[in-house]
Amino acid sequence: MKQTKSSRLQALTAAAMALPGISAQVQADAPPERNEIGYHYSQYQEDRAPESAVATGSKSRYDIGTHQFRWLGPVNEDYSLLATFDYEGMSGASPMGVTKGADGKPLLVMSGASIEDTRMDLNVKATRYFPEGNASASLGYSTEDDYNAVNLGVEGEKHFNNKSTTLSGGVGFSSDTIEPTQQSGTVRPTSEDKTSVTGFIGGAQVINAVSVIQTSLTVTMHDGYLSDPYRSNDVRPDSRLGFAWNTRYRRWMADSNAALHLDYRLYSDDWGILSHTLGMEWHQNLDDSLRITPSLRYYTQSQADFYVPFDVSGIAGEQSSDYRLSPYGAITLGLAAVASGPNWRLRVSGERYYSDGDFALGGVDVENPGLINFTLLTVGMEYLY
Amino acid sequence: MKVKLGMITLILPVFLGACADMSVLEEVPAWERGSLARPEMAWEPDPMHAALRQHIYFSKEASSGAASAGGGGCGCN
Repeated sequence: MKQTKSSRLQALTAAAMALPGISAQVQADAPPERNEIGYHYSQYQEDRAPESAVATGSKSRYDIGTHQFRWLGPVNEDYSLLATFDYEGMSGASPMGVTKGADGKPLLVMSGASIEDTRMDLNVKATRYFPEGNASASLGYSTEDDYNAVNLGVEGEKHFNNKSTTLSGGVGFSSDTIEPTQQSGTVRPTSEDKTSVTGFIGGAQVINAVSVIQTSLTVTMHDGYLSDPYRSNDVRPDSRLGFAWNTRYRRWMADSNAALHLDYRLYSDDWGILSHTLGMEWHQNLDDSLRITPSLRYYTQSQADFYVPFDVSGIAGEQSSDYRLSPYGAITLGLAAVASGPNWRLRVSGERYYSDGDFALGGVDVENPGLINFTLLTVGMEYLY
Repeated sequence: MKVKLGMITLILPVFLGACADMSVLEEVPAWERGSLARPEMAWEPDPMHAALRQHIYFSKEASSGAASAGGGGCGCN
């Protein structure tokens, strides 16, 4: 039978749509055809604080084991449901402050005994699919020994130009309560609240047959208790307004049978933090069922306006010696291997994070001794049925 | 200083190449989008691991913000 141009195009289109994953991105939005269940276990280990950097307290830093569970499935022709549950067990010591040593250099004041805590985080997201887009609503609850948070969000996507262009947007709300563990000899609040509102808008564009780009702007407002109750002298503003501009680029390299991922984020807030994050991943297919992914991430941030390299007791006003508000840079090196079959996927990955004042784009006069290096190891599997 | 220069030398040419790629948009019919639909071309090929990494960086760095509305909430000290 002689094929018309139209019927050939239809046949090619049908063949293309049958490729794994294509229905999620190119065809009309629709729920996944099969259920997907996944489990990951990750071990996060911070290096011990060096002897020379600690004035008092334990030198061990955080060690966290994380169990992640995920289920995604169709509800009917128009809806899908996604549920995730995380269980974390953590132990280690935390910096309580920074003091000046005999030689004038900063030294960490660490908590004495090891801190033990668990965290559970449950999130459920329902998505409704339309011919030219989708809309989702999500609800989540997170709890620790001293911390509870409820969050909810709505977001959506709308496709244009034969699905070459996608606009997206959403808003989220979180209500958090902290009830610090009390310790004799210290003065800590008994219960404090924080609320956060996030909004984002974004757009994605097919550039050509091998590359796509997505850019988005996220605005986050925090209001309430934003200090760290476990630090000795930590007084932060009771509001925070931050902007993040994210851009992601994906390119298929046919000659190499690989995909290049480039990510960039510019972040700025009214605490004076300005940061740049650059990410690069190379997803190399070795054959039809095995892929390895080396990755590189670079991060640099300026300090908060109220950051102090040493704690100062007995003064009024805002101050924090938290290393997370100090100027520094960080590099992450990663390597992942993913093996997959028709209805399963296995993952093994390792990442190493280094942070240092010398890595920052701007100059750092006094490096915070609390900067961390950590290792993250993950094994995981997903099964489709 | 060497690390910073190394990062810039390594990453900047790749980003400039990507910018050049973006200068011309092409109309791509659906049947030519097979490469774009590959799993490794997804914004997040592994959403579980991406969520964990996002949580770690949110906890350990001063910056936050991704194109999503849900999640959040931890003491993270």
